[in-house]
Amino acid sequence: MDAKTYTQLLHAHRDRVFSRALYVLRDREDAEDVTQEAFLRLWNHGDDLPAERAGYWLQRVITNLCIDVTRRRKVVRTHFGRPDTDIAPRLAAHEEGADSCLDLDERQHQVLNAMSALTPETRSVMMMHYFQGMKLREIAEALDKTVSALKVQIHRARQTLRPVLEAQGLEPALSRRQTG
Amino acid sequence: MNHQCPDIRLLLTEFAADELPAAEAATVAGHLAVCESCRDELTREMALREALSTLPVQSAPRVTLPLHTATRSPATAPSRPWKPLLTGLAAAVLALAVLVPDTPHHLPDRVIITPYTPAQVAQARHDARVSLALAVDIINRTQRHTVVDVFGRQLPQAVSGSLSGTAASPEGGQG
Repeated sequence: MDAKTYTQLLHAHRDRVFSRALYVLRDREDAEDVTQEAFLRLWNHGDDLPAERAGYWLQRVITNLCIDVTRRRKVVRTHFGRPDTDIAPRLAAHEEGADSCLDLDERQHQVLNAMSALTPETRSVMMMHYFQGMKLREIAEALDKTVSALKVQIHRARQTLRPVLEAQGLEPALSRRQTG
Repeated sequence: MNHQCPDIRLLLTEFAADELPAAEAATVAGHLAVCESCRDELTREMALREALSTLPVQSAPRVTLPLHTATRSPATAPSRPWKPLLTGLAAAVLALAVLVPDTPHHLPDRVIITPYTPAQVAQARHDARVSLALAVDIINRTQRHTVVDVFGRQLPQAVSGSLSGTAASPEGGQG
């Protein structure tokens, strides 16, 4: 991959990829590391990639890196979350306050908080579709999954988020029904 | 809810995104016209879409910008330019945590020349001690043959000596 192609990809994907990592991981430093690592890998392995596949490849790398970071955090919490240390509460407080400076409204806060119950892969899939605007067919190609599997994954995620979504989305429908 | 609902609900994401072929979209629309339960599900889908699609795009850090000018070696493009400094400081602090008693007047003034305040260094020393204690605790809870397999020759001689010739205990290092 030549520098020009790399630069085009960098400018086309950098902010959205970083934002996705930030919303999935909810930690700015982790998101910076993941973004940097993904573009470093793109640069190092770009020669092996057809240009038209590079975007998909990048999305897959970011998804896998986010999963890796989440796994590492789980290990840290398992080992460090002992009652004789104050590390576990500090980590939890850090995560809860991570998006305090991201200019989100209340309903976005609620949805992102509720999404922490989902797996990092499901969070990534949802961010790729809803936030990055990728079609399910494109996500399937990037993650080497079937569109049907993605439909089920998103449907189940919606069920998990249902209490939050009902509070946000159903009020107009209910009021229409009551007034109708 | 009828027998069509489960299939229809799997299509709602694409229906809301206008990604369905016309025939399937018409089927979904026809079902929605008569199924209140699926209309509510569509409302939830729209609420989710609205919340996530309007998330602000955050600017990536500048550190990713000059990457293409680097040579193709990870070692020449550190993810954080200040990381070697922090690593050095962490190593020094860890060494102090092990070697120096935990009393401020025993800390030699000239061991670390650093822009960090004494409070930051003290906090780092505290964190290093906690981390070290936890690491030792984890090792103590791990089966001895696993510790030897993982650390091999990197274990200090005193530790490896105490481990050699001892039968592995399923309960870990206490046994």
